[in-house]
Amino acid sequence: MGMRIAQAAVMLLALLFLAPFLLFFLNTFKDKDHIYDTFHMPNLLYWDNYSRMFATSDFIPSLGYTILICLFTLLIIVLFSSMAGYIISRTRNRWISSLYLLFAAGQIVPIQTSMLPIYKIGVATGMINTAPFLILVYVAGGCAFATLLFAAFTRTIPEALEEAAAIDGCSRAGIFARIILPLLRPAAATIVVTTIYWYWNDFTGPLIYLNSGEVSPLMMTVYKFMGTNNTVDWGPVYALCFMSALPMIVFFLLTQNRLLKGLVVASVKG
Amino acid sequence: MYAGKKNGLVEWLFVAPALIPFLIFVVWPFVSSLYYSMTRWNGFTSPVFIGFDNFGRLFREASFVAALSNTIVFTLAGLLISNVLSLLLALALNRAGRSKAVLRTVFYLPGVVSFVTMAVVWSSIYHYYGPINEILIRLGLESWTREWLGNFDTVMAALIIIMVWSGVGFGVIVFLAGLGSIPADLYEAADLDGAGAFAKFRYVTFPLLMSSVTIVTFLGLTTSLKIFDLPFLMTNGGPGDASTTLAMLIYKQAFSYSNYGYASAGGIVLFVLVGFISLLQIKATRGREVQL
Repeated sequence: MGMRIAQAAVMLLALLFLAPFLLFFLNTFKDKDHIYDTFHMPNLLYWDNYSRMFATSDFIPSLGYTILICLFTLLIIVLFSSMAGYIISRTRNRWISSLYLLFAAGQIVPIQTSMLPIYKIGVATGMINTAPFLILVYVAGGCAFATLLFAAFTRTIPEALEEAAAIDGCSRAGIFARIILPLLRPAAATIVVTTIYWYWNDFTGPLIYLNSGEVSPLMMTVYKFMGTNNTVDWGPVYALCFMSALPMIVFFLLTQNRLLKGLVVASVKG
Repeated sequence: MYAGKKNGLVEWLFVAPALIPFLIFVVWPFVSSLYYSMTRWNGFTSPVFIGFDNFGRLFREASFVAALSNTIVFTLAGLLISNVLSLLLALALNRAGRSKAVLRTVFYLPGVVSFVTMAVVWSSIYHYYGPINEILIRLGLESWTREWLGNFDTVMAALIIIMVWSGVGFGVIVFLAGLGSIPADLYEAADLDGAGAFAKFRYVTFPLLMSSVTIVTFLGLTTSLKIFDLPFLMTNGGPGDASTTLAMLIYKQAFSYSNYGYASAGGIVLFVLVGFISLLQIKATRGREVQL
Protein backbone atom coordinates (compact mmCIF):
# COMPACT_ATOMS: atom_id res chain seq x y z
CA MET A 1 0.00 0.00 0.00
CA GLY A 2 2.71 2.46 1.05
CA MET A 3 4.71 1.30 -1.94
CA ARG A 4 1.82 2.16 -4.29
CA ILE A 5 1.51 5.66 -2.87
CA ALA A 6 5.25 6.21 -3.21
CA GLN A 7 5.16 5.05 -6.83
CA ALA A 8 2.22 7.30 -7.61
CA ALA A 9 4.05 10.23 -6.01
CA VAL A 10 7.16 9.56 -8.08
CA MET A 11 5.11 9.35 -11.28
CA LEU A 12 3.36 12.60 -10.45
CA LEU A 13 6.66 14.28 -9.76
CA ALA A 14 8.08 12.94 -13.03
CA LEU A 15 5.14 14.51 -14.89
CA LEU A 16 5.73 17.80 -13.07
CA PHE A 17 9.40 17.65 -14.09
CA LEU A 18 8.40 17.15 -17.72
CA ALA A 19 5.63 19.76 -17.72
CA PRO A 20 7.94 22.74 -18.40
CA PHE A 21 9.35 20.92 -21.43
CA LEU A 22 5.90 20.19 -22.77
CA LEU A 23 4.72 23.74 -22.23
CA PHE A 24 7.91 25.03 -23.84
CA PHE A 25 7.52 22.77 -26.87
CA LEU A 26 3.85 23.69 -27.35
CA ASN A 27 4.61 27.39 -26.93
CA THR A 28 6.83 27.30 -30.00
CA PHE A 29 3.70 26.61 -32.07
CA LYS A 30 1.43 29.22 -30.53
CA ASP A 31 0.53 32.35 -32.43
CA LYS A 32 0.75 35.78 -30.84
CA ASP A 33 -2.82 35.79 -29.55
CA HIS A 34 -2.48 32.47 -27.73
CA ILE A 35 1.05 32.64 -26.34
CA TYR A 36 -0.29 33.21 -22.81
CA ASP A 37 -3.18 30.80 -23.24
CA THR A 38 -1.76 27.91 -21.25
CA PHE A 39 -4.39 25.30 -22.07
CA HIS A 40 -4.72 26.25 -25.72
CA MET A 41 -3.72 23.28 -27.87
CA PRO A 42 -1.77 24.87 -30.72
CA ASN A 43 -1.81 23.72 -34.30
CA LEU A 44 1.44 21.74 -34.64
CA LEU A 45 1.57 22.68 -38.31
CA TYR A 46 1.86 26.37 -37.44
CA TRP A 47 5.52 26.96 -38.22
CA ASP A 48 5.40 30.73 -38.35
CA ASN A 49 7.48 31.20 -35.15
CA TYR A 50 10.20 29.00 -36.57
CA SER A 51 10.31 30.67 -39.96
CA ARG A 52 10.36 34.13 -38.38
CA MET A 53 13.08 32.98 -35.99
CA PHE A 54 15.22 31.70 -38.86
CA ALA A 55 14.65 34.93 -40.75
CA THR A 56 15.41 37.36 -37.93
CA SER A 57 17.99 35.62 -35.71
CA ASP A 58 21.53 34.38 -36.30
CA PHE A 59 20.59 30.83 -35.40
CA ILE A 60 22.51 28.99 -38.13
CA PRO A 61 25.84 30.87 -37.86
CA SER A 62 25.62 30.78 -34.06
CA LEU A 63 24.98 27.05 -34.13
CA GLY A 64 28.07 26.51 -36.26
CA TYR A 65 30.07 28.80 -34.00
CA THR A 66 29.03 26.99 -30.83
CA ILE A 67 29.77 23.60 -32.40
CA LEU A 68 33.26 24.80 -33.35
CA ILE A 69 33.90 26.24 -29.88
CA CYS A 70 32.82 22.99 -28.21
CA LEU A 71 34.80 20.89 -30.67
CA PHE A 72 38.09 22.77 -30.27
CA THR A 73 37.69 23.13 -26.52
CA LEU A 74 37.07 19.42 -25.97
CA LEU A 75 39.74 18.27 -28.42
CA ILE A 76 42.40 20.43 -26.80
CA ILE A 77 41.30 19.48 -23.29
CA VAL A 78 41.39 15.76 -24.07
CA LEU A 79 44.82 15.97 -25.69
CA PHE A 80 46.51 18.23 -23.11
CA SER A 81 45.03 16.66 -20.02
CA SER A 82 45.58 13.06 -21.06
CA MET A 83 49.27 13.93 -21.41
CA ALA A 84 49.37 15.70 -18.07
CA GLY A 85 47.24 13.12 -16.28
CA TYR A 86 49.44 10.28 -17.54
CA ILE A 87 52.62 11.90 -16.26
CA ILE A 88 51.12 13.04 -12.95
CA SER A 89 50.01 9.52 -12.10
CA ARG A 90 53.36 7.97 -13.05
CA THR A 91 55.99 10.50 -12.02
CA ARG A 92 58.42 10.22 -9.12
CA ASN A 93 59.00 13.98 -9.24
CA ARG A 94 57.36 15.51 -6.19
CA TRP A 95 56.79 18.86 -7.92
CA ILE A 96 54.91 17.26 -10.76
CA SER A 97 52.83 14.96 -8.59
CA SER A 98 51.82 17.90 -6.40
CA LEU A 99 50.25 19.52 -9.48
CA TYR A 100 47.35 17.18 -8.74
CA LEU A 101 46.53 19.24 -5.65
CA LEU A 102 47.05 22.52 -7.49
CA PHE A 103 44.61 21.47 -10.22
CA ALA A 104 42.13 20.27 -7.61
CA ALA A 105 42.35 23.57 -5.71
CA GLY A 106 41.84 25.50 -8.96
CA GLN A 107 38.41 23.92 -9.24
CA ILE A 108 36.97 26.05 -6.47
CA VAL A 109 37.98 29.49 -7.80
CA PRO A 110 34.72 31.11 -8.95
CA ILE A 111 34.69 32.86 -12.33
CA GLN A 112 33.72 36.11 -10.57
CA THR A 113 36.97 36.00 -8.62
CA SER A 114 39.21 35.75 -11.65
CA MET A 115 37.17 37.44 -14.39
CA LEU A 116 38.73 40.91 -14.17
CA PRO A 117 42.37 39.87 -14.54
CA ILE A 118 41.35 37.47 -17.33
CA TYR A 119 39.42 40.25 -19.02
CA LYS A 120 42.51 42.45 -18.70
CA ILE A 121 44.68 39.78 -20.34
CA GLY A 122 42.14 39.66 -23.16
CA VAL A 123 42.24 43.41 -23.65
CA ALA A 124 46.05 43.57 -23.41
CA THR A 125 46.52 40.85 -26.03
CA GLY A 126 43.70 42.14 -28.23
CA MET A 127 42.09 38.69 -28.01
CA ILE A 128 38.98 39.77 -26.08
CA ASN A 129 35.74 39.13 -27.97
CA THR A 130 37.29 36.41 -30.08
CA ALA A 131 36.45 32.72 -29.98
CA PRO A 132 40.09 31.60 -29.43
CA PHE A 133 40.18 33.63 -26.21
CA LEU A 134 37.02 32.01 -24.89
CA ILE A 135 38.41 28.60 -25.86
CA LEU A 136 41.66 29.35 -24.00
CA VAL A 137 39.73 30.28 -20.85
CA TYR A 138 37.68 27.08 -21.17
CA VAL A 139 40.80 24.98 -21.77
CA ALA A 140 42.58 26.41 -18.72
CA GLY A 141 39.75 25.46 -16.37
CA GLY A 142 38.70 22.30 -18.19
CA CYS A 143 42.21 20.85 -18.35
CA ALA A 144 42.54 21.01 -14.58
CA PHE A 145 39.40 18.97 -14.12
CA ALA A 146 40.12 16.53 -16.94
CA THR A 147 43.72 16.01 -15.79
CA LEU A 148 42.45 14.77 -12.42
CA LEU A 149 40.24 12.27 -14.22
CA PHE A 150 42.91 11.11 -16.63
CA ALA A 151 45.37 10.68 -13.76
CA ALA A 152 42.85 8.52 -11.92
CA PHE A 153 42.19 6.45 -15.05
CA THR A 154 45.89 6.04 -15.83
CA ARG A 155 46.41 4.49 -12.39
CA THR A 156 44.19 1.59 -13.46
CA ILE A 157 46.52 0.79 -16.39
CA PRO A 158 49.25 -1.71 -15.39
CA GLU A 159 52.77 -0.29 -15.64
CA ALA A 160 54.07 -3.58 -17.00
CA LEU A 161 52.78 -2.64 -20.45
CA GLU A 162 55.00 0.44 -20.52
CA GLU A 163 58.03 -1.41 -19.14
CA ALA A 164 57.83 -3.93 -21.95
CA ALA A 165 57.62 -1.17 -24.54
CA ALA A 166 60.49 0.74 -22.92
CA ILE A 167 62.70 -2.34 -23.08
CA ASP A 168 61.85 -2.58 -26.79
CA GLY A 169 63.26 0.94 -27.12
CA CYS A 170 60.04 2.89 -27.34
CA SER A 171 60.32 6.56 -26.31
CA ARG A 172 58.14 8.13 -23.64
CA ALA A 173 56.10 9.95 -26.30
CA GLY A 174 55.78 6.73 -28.29
CA ILE A 175 54.61 4.83 -25.23
CA PHE A 176 52.02 7.51 -24.54
CA ALA A 177 50.74 7.66 -28.11
CA ARG A 178 50.74 3.92 -28.82
CA ILE A 179 49.88 2.36 -25.47
CA ILE A 180 48.37 4.83 -23.03
CA LEU A 181 46.26 7.06 -25.26
CA PRO A 182 44.26 4.20 -26.84
CA LEU A 183 43.57 2.82 -23.36
CA LEU A 184 42.40 6.23 -22.18
CA ARG A 185 39.71 6.40 -24.87
CA PRO A 186 36.86 5.53 -22.46
CA ALA A 187 38.07 8.25 -20.10
CA ALA A 188 38.13 10.73 -22.97
CA ALA A 189 34.61 9.76 -23.95
CA THR A 190 33.49 10.23 -20.35
CA ILE A 191 34.97 13.71 -20.29
CA VAL A 192 33.29 14.65 -23.56
CA VAL A 193 29.83 13.39 -22.63
CA THR A 194 29.91 14.87 -19.13
CA THR A 195 31.40 18.29 -19.87
CA ILE A 196 30.11 19.25 -23.33
CA TYR A 197 27.09 20.80 -21.59
CA TRP A 198 29.30 23.27 -19.72
CA TYR A 199 30.55 24.74 -22.97
CA TRP A 200 27.40 24.48 -25.04
CA ASN A 201 25.19 25.96 -22.33
CA ASP A 202 27.65 28.46 -20.87
CA PHE A 203 26.30 31.97 -20.67
CA THR A 204 28.59 33.73 -18.19
CA GLY A 205 31.76 33.09 -20.21
CA PRO A 206 30.49 34.62 -23.47
CA LEU A 207 28.80 37.43 -21.52
CA ILE A 208 32.17 38.49 -20.14
CA TYR A 209 34.66 37.49 -22.83
CA LEU A 210 32.74 37.22 -26.12
CA ASN A 211 30.05 39.84 -25.89
CA SER A 212 30.41 41.81 -29.08
CA GLY A 213 31.88 39.52 -31.70
CA GLU A 214 30.51 39.46 -35.24
CA VAL A 215 28.95 36.09 -34.51
CA SER A 216 27.84 35.05 -31.02
CA PRO A 217 27.73 31.64 -29.40
CA LEU A 218 24.18 30.25 -29.25
CA MET A 219 23.35 31.20 -25.67
CA MET A 220 24.49 34.77 -26.30
CA THR A 221 22.36 34.87 -29.45
CA VAL A 222 19.33 33.72 -27.48
CA TYR A 223 20.03 36.38 -24.86
CA LYS A 224 20.35 39.13 -27.43
CA PHE A 225 17.30 37.90 -29.34
CA MET A 226 15.33 38.02 -26.07
CA GLY A 227 16.38 41.63 -25.68
CA THR A 228 15.18 42.66 -29.13
CA ASN A 229 11.91 40.70 -28.96
CA ASN A 230 11.16 41.24 -25.28
CA THR A 231 7.49 41.49 -24.31
CA VAL A 232 6.58 42.01 -27.95
CA ASP A 233 6.93 38.71 -29.68
CA TRP A 234 7.72 35.64 -27.63
CA GLY A 235 6.94 32.99 -30.27
CA PRO A 236 10.25 33.21 -32.16
CA VAL A 237 12.15 33.41 -28.83
CA TYR A 238 10.64 30.08 -27.78
CA ALA A 239 11.48 28.63 -31.19
CA LEU A 240 15.10 29.80 -30.91
CA CYS A 241 15.43 28.49 -27.36
CA PHE A 242 14.00 25.16 -28.39
CA MET A 243 16.31 24.82 -31.38
CA SER A 244 19.37 25.66 -29.28
CA ALA A 245 18.42 23.23 -26.51
CA LEU A 246 17.48 20.41 -28.89
CA PRO A 247 21.03 19.31 -29.87
CA MET A 248 21.96 18.77 -26.21
CA ILE A 249 18.68 16.98 -25.46
CA VAL A 250 19.30 14.61 -28.38
CA PHE A 251 22.96 14.20 -27.42
CA PHE A 252 21.93 13.38 -23.86
CA LEU A 253 19.38 10.79 -24.95
CA LEU A 254 21.97 9.13 -27.20
CA THR A 255 24.84 9.11 -24.70
CA GLN A 256 22.99 8.91 -21.41
CA ASN A 257 24.29 5.50 -20.37
CA ARG A 258 27.89 6.63 -20.59
CA LEU A 259 27.01 9.99 -19.07
CA LEU A 260 25.22 8.53 -16.06
CA LYS A 261 28.10 6.15 -15.38
CA GLY A 262 30.67 8.86 -16.06
CA LEU A 263 29.03 11.38 -13.75
CA VAL A 264 29.55 9.16 -10.76
CA VAL A 265 33.14 8.33 -11.69
CA ALA A 266 33.87 11.97 -12.49
CA SER A 267 32.48 13.30 -9.25
CA VAL A 268 34.25 10.70 -7.14
CA LYS A 269 37.62 11.21 -8.77
CA GLY A 270 37.29 14.89 -9.57
CA MET B 1 61.84 2.76 -14.72
CA TYR B 2 62.35 6.33 -15.89
CA ALA B 3 65.08 8.47 -14.40
CA GLY B 4 67.62 11.16 -15.12
CA LYS B 5 67.58 14.78 -16.19
CA LYS B 6 66.33 14.07 -19.68
CA ASN B 7 63.33 12.24 -18.30
CA GLY B 8 62.59 15.14 -15.94
CA LEU B 9 62.48 17.49 -18.92
CA VAL B 10 60.24 15.11 -20.88
CA GLU B 11 57.84 14.97 -17.94
CA TRP B 12 57.64 18.75 -17.70
CA LEU B 13 57.03 18.95 -21.46
CA PHE B 14 54.12 16.54 -21.05
CA VAL B 15 52.44 18.57 -18.31
CA ALA B 16 53.24 21.99 -19.80
CA PRO B 17 50.31 22.24 -22.28
CA ALA B 18 47.78 21.79 -19.45
CA LEU B 19 49.80 23.65 -16.85
CA ILE B 20 50.61 26.85 -18.76
CA PRO B 21 47.02 27.90 -19.56
CA PHE B 22 46.13 26.98 -15.99
CA LEU B 23 48.86 29.24 -14.61
CA ILE B 24 47.87 32.12 -16.90
CA PHE B 25 44.08 31.91 -16.65
CA VAL B 26 43.52 30.43 -13.17
CA VAL B 27 46.49 30.96 -10.87
CA TRP B 28 47.67 34.40 -12.05
CA PRO B 29 44.17 35.95 -12.15
CA PHE B 30 43.54 34.65 -8.65
CA VAL B 31 46.78 36.05 -7.26
CA SER B 32 46.34 39.41 -8.96
CA SER B 33 42.73 39.57 -7.74
CA LEU B 34 44.08 39.34 -4.22
CA TYR B 35 46.11 42.48 -4.94
CA TYR B 36 43.35 44.33 -6.83
CA SER B 37 40.96 43.66 -3.94
CA MET B 38 43.13 46.01 -1.88
CA THR B 39 43.12 48.82 -4.42
CA ARG B 40 40.90 51.55 -5.72
CA TRP B 41 40.82 50.89 -9.44
CA ASN B 42 38.50 51.79 -12.29
CA GLY B 43 40.28 49.73 -14.92
CA PHE B 44 41.73 52.71 -16.80
CA THR B 45 44.02 54.58 -14.39
CA SER B 46 46.49 52.52 -12.38
CA PRO B 47 45.26 50.89 -9.16
CA VAL B 48 45.80 52.76 -5.87
CA PHE B 49 46.61 50.62 -2.83
CA ILE B 50 44.09 51.19 -0.03
CA GLY B 51 44.56 48.13 2.20
CA PHE B 52 41.41 46.48 3.46
CA ASP B 53 39.10 49.46 2.83
CA ASN B 54 37.12 47.64 0.12
CA PHE B 55 36.30 44.81 2.51
CA GLY B 56 35.17 47.23 5.22
CA ARG B 57 33.01 49.02 2.67
CA LEU B 58 31.52 45.73 1.45
CA PHE B 59 30.23 44.70 4.84
CA ARG B 60 28.85 48.16 5.57
CA GLU B 61 26.86 48.29 2.38
CA ALA B 62 23.25 47.11 2.54
CA SER B 63 23.24 45.74 -1.02
CA PHE B 64 26.24 43.52 -0.27
CA VAL B 65 24.71 42.22 2.94
CA ALA B 66 21.47 41.53 1.04
CA ALA B 67 23.37 39.70 -1.71
CA LEU B 68 25.30 37.69 0.84
CA SER B 69 22.17 36.63 2.70
CA ASN B 70 20.35 35.81 -0.57
CA THR B 71 23.27 33.65 -1.63
CA ILE B 72 23.22 31.84 1.70
CA VAL B 73 19.47 31.29 1.44
CA PHE B 74 19.90 29.91 -2.10
CA THR B 75 22.64 27.62 -0.91
CA LEU B 76 20.97 26.28 2.22
CA ALA B 77 17.55 25.83 0.65
CA GLY B 78 19.01 24.28 -2.48
CA LEU B 79 21.17 21.96 -0.42
CA LEU B 80 18.42 20.79 1.87
CA ILE B 81 15.67 20.38 -0.72
CA SER B 82 17.86 18.84 -3.42
CA ASN B 83 19.53 16.41 -1.05
CA VAL B 84 16.33 15.21 0.57
CA LEU B 85 14.33 15.09 -2.65
CA SER B 86 17.00 13.29 -4.64
CA LEU B 87 17.57 10.78 -1.86
CA LEU B 88 13.84 10.03 -1.63
CA LEU B 89 13.59 9.72 -5.40
CA ALA B 90 16.62 7.46 -5.57
CA LEU B 91 15.16 5.19 -2.87
CA ALA B 92 11.89 5.00 -4.79
CA LEU B 93 13.56 4.52 -8.18
CA ASN B 94 15.82 1.82 -6.80
CA ARG B 95 12.72 -0.35 -6.40
CA ALA B 96 10.93 0.87 -9.49
CA GLY B 97 12.08 -2.04 -11.66
CA ARG B 98 11.64 -1.51 -15.36
CA SER B 99 10.57 2.13 -15.16
CA LYS B 100 13.81 3.01 -13.31
CA ALA B 101 15.77 3.85 -16.46
CA VAL B 102 13.04 6.03 -17.93
CA LEU B 103 12.44 7.90 -14.68
CA ARG B 104 16.15 8.47 -14.22
CA THR B 105 16.26 10.04 -17.67
CA VAL B 106 13.25 12.22 -16.93
CA PHE B 107 14.69 13.56 -13.68
CA TYR B 108 18.07 14.24 -15.23
CA LEU B 109 16.72 15.91 -18.38
CA PRO B 110 16.42 19.46 -16.93
CA GLY B 111 20.14 19.29 -16.17
CA VAL B 112 21.13 19.31 -19.84
CA VAL B 113 19.25 22.53 -20.63
CA SER B 114 21.01 25.87 -20.31
CA PHE B 115 20.06 28.49 -17.76
CA VAL B 116 19.20 30.79 -20.66
CA THR B 117 16.55 28.36 -21.92
CA MET B 118 15.36 27.70 -18.38
CA ALA B 119 15.01 31.41 -17.79
CA VAL B 120 12.81 31.81 -20.87
CA VAL B 121 10.63 28.80 -20.06
CA TRP B 122 10.23 29.55 -16.37
CA SER B 123 9.61 33.23 -16.95
CA SER B 124 6.58 32.20 -18.96
CA ILE B 125 5.50 29.80 -16.20
CA TYR B 126 5.75 32.50 -13.54
CA HIS B 127 4.25 35.15 -15.81
CA TYR B 128 1.13 36.91 -14.56
CA TYR B 129 -0.84 35.36 -17.41
CA GLY B 130 1.07 32.09 -17.12
CA PRO B 131 0.00 28.57 -16.14
CA ILE B 132 0.43 28.90 -12.36
CA ASN B 133 -1.98 31.80 -12.03
CA GLU B 134 -4.25 30.23 -14.66
CA ILE B 135 -4.51 27.02 -12.63
CA LEU B 136 -5.09 28.97 -9.41
CA ILE B 137 -7.93 30.87 -11.06
CA ARG B 138 -9.52 27.67 -12.31
CA LEU B 139 -9.30 26.23 -8.81
CA GLY B 140 -11.10 29.29 -7.50
CA LEU B 141 -8.03 30.62 -5.71
CA GLU B 142 -7.91 33.91 -7.55
CA SER B 143 -6.68 35.76 -4.46
CA TRP B 144 -3.48 33.68 -4.55
CA THR B 145 -2.46 34.84 -7.99
CA ARG B 146 0.44 37.23 -8.20
CA GLU B 147 3.47 38.34 -10.16
CA TRP B 148 5.67 35.53 -8.83
CA LEU B 149 8.99 37.02 -9.89
CA GLY B 150 8.04 40.61 -9.11
CA ASN B 151 7.11 39.94 -5.53
CA PHE B 152 9.51 40.27 -2.59
CA ASP B 153 7.96 37.30 -0.79
CA THR B 154 7.94 34.84 -3.66
CA VAL B 155 10.89 35.66 -5.90
CA MET B 156 13.47 33.61 -3.98
CA ALA B 157 11.20 30.58 -3.67
CA ALA B 158 10.42 30.82 -7.38
CA LEU B 159 14.12 30.76 -8.27
CA ILE B 160 14.92 27.99 -5.77
CA ILE B 161 12.27 25.79 -7.39
CA ILE B 162 14.04 26.15 -10.73
CA MET B 163 17.39 25.31 -9.17
CA VAL B 164 15.96 22.20 -7.57
CA TRP B 165 14.27 21.24 -10.84
CA SER B 166 17.54 21.48 -12.70
CA GLY B 167 19.78 19.91 -10.05
CA VAL B 168 17.83 17.03 -8.53
CA GLY B 169 18.64 14.64 -11.38
CA PHE B 170 22.34 14.71 -10.58
CA GLY B 171 21.64 13.81 -6.96
CA VAL B 172 19.36 10.97 -8.03
CA ILE B 173 22.11 9.50 -10.24
CA VAL B 174 24.75 9.68 -7.52
CA PHE B 175 22.44 8.24 -4.84
CA LEU B 176 21.30 5.45 -7.17
CA ALA B 177 24.93 4.51 -7.79
CA GLY B 178 25.53 4.60 -4.04
CA LEU B 179 22.52 2.39 -3.34
CA GLY B 180 23.64 -0.05 -6.01
CA SER B 181 27.01 -0.47 -4.34
CA ILE B 182 25.60 -1.53 -0.97
CA PRO B 183 26.12 -5.32 -0.61
CA ALA B 184 22.83 -7.22 -0.35
CA ASP B 185 24.12 -9.46 2.46
CA LEU B 186 24.16 -6.47 4.81
CA TYR B 187 20.39 -6.27 4.45
CA GLU B 188 20.09 -10.02 4.93
CA ALA B 189 22.12 -9.76 8.13
CA ALA B 190 19.86 -6.90 9.27
CA ASP B 191 16.82 -9.06 8.50
CA LEU B 192 18.22 -11.87 10.65
CA ASP B 193 18.68 -9.38 13.47
CA GLY B 194 15.02 -8.46 13.09
CA ALA B 195 15.61 -4.90 11.87
CA GLY B 196 12.59 -3.01 10.54
CA ALA B 197 12.54 -0.92 7.36
CA PHE B 198 13.48 2.28 9.18
CA ALA B 199 16.23 0.62 11.21
CA LYS B 200 17.69 -0.79 8.00
CA PHE B 201 17.71 2.67 6.45
CA ARG B 202 19.15 4.26 9.57
CA TYR B 203 21.91 1.72 10.27
CA VAL B 204 22.73 0.24 6.84
CA THR B 205 21.63 2.41 3.93
CA PHE B 206 22.30 5.86 5.30
CA PRO B 207 25.83 5.31 6.71
CA LEU B 208 26.87 3.59 3.50
CA LEU B 209 25.48 6.46 1.45
CA MET B 210 27.58 9.07 3.20
CA SER B 211 30.10 9.27 0.36
CA SER B 212 27.23 9.97 -2.04
CA VAL B 213 25.97 12.63 0.35
CA THR B 214 29.45 14.18 0.28
CA ILE B 215 29.44 14.38 -3.50
CA VAL B 216 25.92 15.77 -3.85
CA THR B 217 26.42 18.27 -1.03
CA PHE B 218 29.81 19.46 -2.24
CA LEU B 219 28.70 20.03 -5.81
CA GLY B 220 25.40 21.54 -4.71
CA LEU B 221 27.15 23.95 -2.36
CA THR B 222 29.70 25.20 -4.83
CA THR B 223 27.18 25.60 -7.64
CA SER B 224 24.63 27.50 -5.61
CA LEU B 225 27.19 29.74 -3.91
CA LYS B 226 28.31 30.83 -7.37
CA ILE B 227 24.80 31.18 -8.82
CA PHE B 228 24.65 33.96 -11.37
CA ASP B 229 22.85 33.16 -14.64
CA LEU B 230 19.42 32.39 -13.30
CA PRO B 231 18.73 35.56 -11.26
CA PHE B 232 20.67 37.66 -13.79
CA LEU B 233 18.47 36.51 -16.65
CA MET B 234 15.14 36.23 -14.87
CA THR B 235 14.95 39.07 -12.39
CA ASN B 236 18.19 41.02 -12.77
CA GLY B 237 18.38 40.74 -9.00
CA GLY B 238 15.03 42.38 -8.40
CA PRO B 239 12.63 43.41 -7.16
CA GLY B 240 15.02 45.77 -5.35
CA ASP B 241 17.84 43.57 -4.10
CA ALA B 242 15.50 40.69 -3.30
CA SER B 243 17.18 38.16 -5.59
CA THR B 244 20.63 39.66 -6.09
CA THR B 245 23.37 37.12 -5.44
CA LEU B 246 27.02 37.71 -4.59
CA ALA B 247 28.17 36.65 -8.04
CA MET B 248 25.72 39.10 -9.63
CA LEU B 249 26.71 41.97 -7.37
CA ILE B 250 30.36 41.41 -8.26
CA TYR B 251 29.54 41.32 -11.98
CA LYS B 252 27.56 44.55 -11.78
CA GLN B 253 30.16 46.38 -9.69
CA ALA B 254 32.77 45.43 -12.27
CA PHE B 255 31.03 45.83 -15.60
CA SER B 256 28.25 48.32 -14.88
CA TYR B 257 30.02 50.64 -12.43
CA SER B 258 33.72 49.99 -13.20
CA ASN B 259 34.46 49.58 -9.48
CA TYR B 260 37.16 47.03 -10.26
CA GLY B 261 38.92 47.06 -6.89
CA TYR B 262 35.65 46.81 -5.02
CA ALA B 263 34.43 44.02 -7.32
CA SER B 264 37.71 42.14 -6.79
CA ALA B 265 37.18 42.33 -3.03
CA GLY B 266 33.73 40.84 -3.55
CA GLY B 267 35.33 38.11 -5.66
CA ILE B 268 37.73 37.26 -2.84
CA VAL B 269 34.87 37.10 -0.32
CA LEU B 270 33.05 34.72 -2.68
CA PHE B 271 36.20 32.61 -3.04
CA VAL B 272 36.75 32.46 0.72
CA LEU B 273 33.14 31.43 1.20
CA VAL B 274 33.33 28.68 -1.44
CA GLY B 275 36.74 27.50 -0.23
CA PHE B 276 35.90 27.53 3.47
CA ILE B 277 32.59 25.73 3.09
CA SER B 278 34.17 23.19 0.75
CA LEU B 279 36.90 22.39 3.28
CA LEU B 280 34.47 22.25 6.17
CA GLN B 281 32.13 20.05 4.24
CA ILE B 282 34.80 17.60 3.09
CA LYS B 283 36.07 17.29 6.65
CA ALA B 284 32.64 16.82 8.18
CA THR B 285 31.38 14.16 5.77
CA ARG B 286 34.65 12.30 5.23
CA GLY B 287 34.76 11.59 8.96
CA ARG B 288 31.38 9.90 8.91
CA GLU B 289 31.87 7.79 5.82
CA VAL B 290 31.97 4.08 6.46
CA GLN B 291 34.90 2.39 4.78
CA LEU B 292 34.15 -1.08 3.53
